Amino acid sequence: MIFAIKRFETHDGDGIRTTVFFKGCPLRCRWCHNPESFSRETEIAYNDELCIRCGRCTSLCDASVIKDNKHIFDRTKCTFCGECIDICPRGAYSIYGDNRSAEEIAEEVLFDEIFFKGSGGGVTFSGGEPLMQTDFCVKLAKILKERDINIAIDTCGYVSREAIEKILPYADTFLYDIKAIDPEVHKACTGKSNELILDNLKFIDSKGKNIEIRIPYIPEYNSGEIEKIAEFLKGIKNIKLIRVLPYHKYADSKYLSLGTKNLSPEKIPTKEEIQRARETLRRISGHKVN
Amino acid sequence: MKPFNKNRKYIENEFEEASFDAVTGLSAEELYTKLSEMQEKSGDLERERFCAEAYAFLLEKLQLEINEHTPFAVKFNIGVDYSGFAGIDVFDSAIFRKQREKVLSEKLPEDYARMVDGDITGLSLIYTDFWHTVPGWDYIIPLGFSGVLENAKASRKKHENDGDARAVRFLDSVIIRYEAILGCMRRIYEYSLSFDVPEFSEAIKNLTIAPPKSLYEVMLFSVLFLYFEEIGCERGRTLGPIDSLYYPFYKSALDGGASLEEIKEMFRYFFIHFTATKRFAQQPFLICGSDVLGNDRTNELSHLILDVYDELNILDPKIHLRYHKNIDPEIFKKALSMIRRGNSSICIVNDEAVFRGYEKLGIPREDSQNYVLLGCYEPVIMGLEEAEVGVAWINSAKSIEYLLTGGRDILSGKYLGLKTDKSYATFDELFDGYLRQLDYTVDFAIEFAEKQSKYNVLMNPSPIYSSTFANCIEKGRDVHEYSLKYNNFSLKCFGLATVVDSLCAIKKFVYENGEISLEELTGALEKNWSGYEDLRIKILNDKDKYGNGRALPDNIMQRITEHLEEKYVGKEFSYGRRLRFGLDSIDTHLYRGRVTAATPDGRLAGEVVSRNLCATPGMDRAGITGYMQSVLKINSEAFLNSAIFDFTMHPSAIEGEKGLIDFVSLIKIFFDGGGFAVQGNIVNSETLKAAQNDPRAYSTLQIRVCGWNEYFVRMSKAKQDYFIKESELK
Repeated sequence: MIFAIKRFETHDGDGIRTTVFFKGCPLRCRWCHNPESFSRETEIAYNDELCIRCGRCTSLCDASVIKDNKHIFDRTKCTFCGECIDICPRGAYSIYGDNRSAEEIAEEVLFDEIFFKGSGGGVTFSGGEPLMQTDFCVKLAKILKERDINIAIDTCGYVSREAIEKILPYADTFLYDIKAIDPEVHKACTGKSNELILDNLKFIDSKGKNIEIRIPYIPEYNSGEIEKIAEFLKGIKNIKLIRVLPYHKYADSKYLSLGTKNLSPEKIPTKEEIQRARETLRRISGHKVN
Repeated sequence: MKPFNKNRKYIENEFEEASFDAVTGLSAEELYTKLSEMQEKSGDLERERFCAEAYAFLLEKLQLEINEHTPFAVKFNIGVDYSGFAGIDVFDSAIFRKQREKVLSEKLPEDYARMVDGDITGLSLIYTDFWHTVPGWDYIIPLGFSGVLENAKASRKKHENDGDARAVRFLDSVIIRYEAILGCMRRIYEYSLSFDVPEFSEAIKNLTIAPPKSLYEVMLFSVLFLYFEEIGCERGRTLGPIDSLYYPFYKSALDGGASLEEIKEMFRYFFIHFTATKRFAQQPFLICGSDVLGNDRTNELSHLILDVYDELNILDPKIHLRYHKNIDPEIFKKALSMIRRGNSSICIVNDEAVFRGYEKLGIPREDSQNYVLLGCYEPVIMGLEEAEVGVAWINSAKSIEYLLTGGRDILSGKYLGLKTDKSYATFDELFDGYLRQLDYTVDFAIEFAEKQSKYNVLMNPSPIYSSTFANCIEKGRDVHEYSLKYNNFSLKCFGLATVVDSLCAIKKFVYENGEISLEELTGALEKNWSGYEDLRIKILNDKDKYGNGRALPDNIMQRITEHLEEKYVGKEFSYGRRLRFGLDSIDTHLYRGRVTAATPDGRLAGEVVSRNLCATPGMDRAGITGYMQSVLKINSEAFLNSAIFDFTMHPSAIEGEKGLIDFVSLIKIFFDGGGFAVQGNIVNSETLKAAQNDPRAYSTLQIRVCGWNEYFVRMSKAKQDYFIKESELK
């Protein structure tokens, strides 16, 4: 199951890309800006800020009631029929969860093939964690590879070795998240320890695949890990680029609309902090950093 | 002269703040009164001579001002209000407009009345287009004013000997006007001697007797020529390919010891002059391009020009840049980098699409290789073609209205469309009905353009513009007597996304799911959707909208444009003129939309209709590549009179070095896929909202409106809101 397809993505690998967002993730990073990716089930989002209390949706089912100019939305009553989306004048509802086949998804992403070929771009599998749906990933990747499409796998690394081995023949690049080296820090940030993640990265490196490391920078959470991360990455040979991703708080409204508990930290990093982190990574790891 | 950066503040607003010396001539009001009297009494006077004498009177009597802070020191008082988009001058208001109305209402009374109806109701805008001219710069620069006059006199003598009275009449009008120009030049020279502008005086003196000989003189000549042309109500809408036209002067300046910095300084003054003049829709120039063999014409002057332009952060003059597959990648990247930084006063056009477009008119690349863009973004072959690019704009969304009402305009109640039966058994029948309505409007515009073309010279003889072509001087004929190698005319059709989305809605909600009957839908539109809000929202939320690369709308768009191509493009009319078609609106989508009734795509009465090839605002939900895919399905090369692709992108989409590389790739892919031309805004809605709230802090924020830019904070609130909405939805 996927939850979105985004075109003209320029931040998820080389060239112009289309990113397919897979639903479901084994980690629960406190700062995650894609809360719609947590669950592997279909979800509905309702954004109260957009609602104008016109009441059109309340005539469709019992999930929505307007009382005293307040819109009360009971998502447990939602059957995901999607009629509220068609009738809402402000686009307050969204459904996250798309069960189309790999062939159908491939058809949609291949629509931008000329842009991939002309820019050195391709398709990125992201999420959530795409490799939680290994077979689906492989099926989609096979179809795309028949058209010689460049494939990047954006992974948190917390997946089985088997999953990585299965996708390896199709992946041109791994966009690989490293959040912390200290297992306790990692656990506090994501809910899981990181041994598997670090091992998998070494394994991918041993197979000679291109790697782009992504380090989300969250003050007071993993900001003390930068030097250790840099030391660790020094030993990874096939890194083409390390990217530091400054934490932002743009996802608050998404948490609210999904009814998902928001654990997002308050503090956002300064430009100087990010600059320092980049310099540290560059100096210690010896890799290109952006 | 002091450095440019010390003088800039004395130049930028010099036209708005001009105070003309009363000793030098008559005020604009006096000129208007005198010219109006002359027009009143003109009666049966031979028109060319009358206009030439009125022109000569104007040049002899207009007031002058000299600005010591710029090498382009002279200004003429011709009654233009420069506070906004420059208004019309005295010759235009006292003579041309009155004469045009007189000629058209007397000669074509019924057609003229119908044309006026079309204008008022937003159906169409039909002009007599003397506003878009491309002077044959490569002919006049080597001759100068005096050389043109000599050629005209020599030709007159020949034609007099041959007994060609028509040619003599035309050439007399050229001679009268050029003698008036030289007289005016002498007046400027004398007057300038009282000021501290020795280089200017010297250059004026030289240009009175000889062609331009230095980089400064060729710039001054260009400035003066445009002035002298527009004073006679013929507007030169490009400075031409200045990187090649001025190149020999640039080289000789370098050879003569000038430094690059001195040359840059000259261009700073040159460009800021056009910033100050605030001509309507701005003054373009062209750079780059390929020759017939595909060789790149970009040279070091192209780079210098772009660098100076970038440094000035201005929006007028504006840049037309010709792209081709062998273009110097650095200059292409530089131009896109400027657009990315918000200097969006650049339009890039694809040579290959233009060459193919000309081939559809039977014009080979040997000739079309010298095309330039004029006005907004319309190609014209300099020296060889007159194209009347702005003769008519047709609001294609009105034909949807007439399709459903049987020809009746909903808001005015007039029958302006084809009177037909209003029932259509199938969608295909309805679609054919739409094309018949569209054809009906297009056919009238063509018929009107054809009929009025006989009266062009009677309305506004154009000897100055004509004098820039060897053909006109040698044959002794006005350019509007179709004396060039290629004589064409052009129409533009806009609002097509509104049409396509409307037809999709009709197909799905009337013919497929039967949610509403055609009759009831027509009633809903008459009531501006009142009582049908739920259906309107469903239609707005429906995915089948043009601009997303979706099969249904894109197919409908293809069928409409293929129909226009087959029926009209390249068709031959009187005088061997071929019809050029365009799909752009300039900004008429705003004004025509205001008087257009509700449409089946969910649009309310008075809202804008779609702009150029853009999706309906907010309906291109698949991102820029989806929007491009829709546009690329249109055979753009058939629409030579421009098929501009406008984009609005959020800055974050193309940030950093990688973002620029991807942006370059995106535009190259578009062109290599057949795209015609691009222009756009890289801006986010937050910035625009902040500018709306705090205009002073954002006084230099530019927005590409259509074929020109405007400062955002000087736009009307409605226009600002339109651009905020457009950027919000990206």
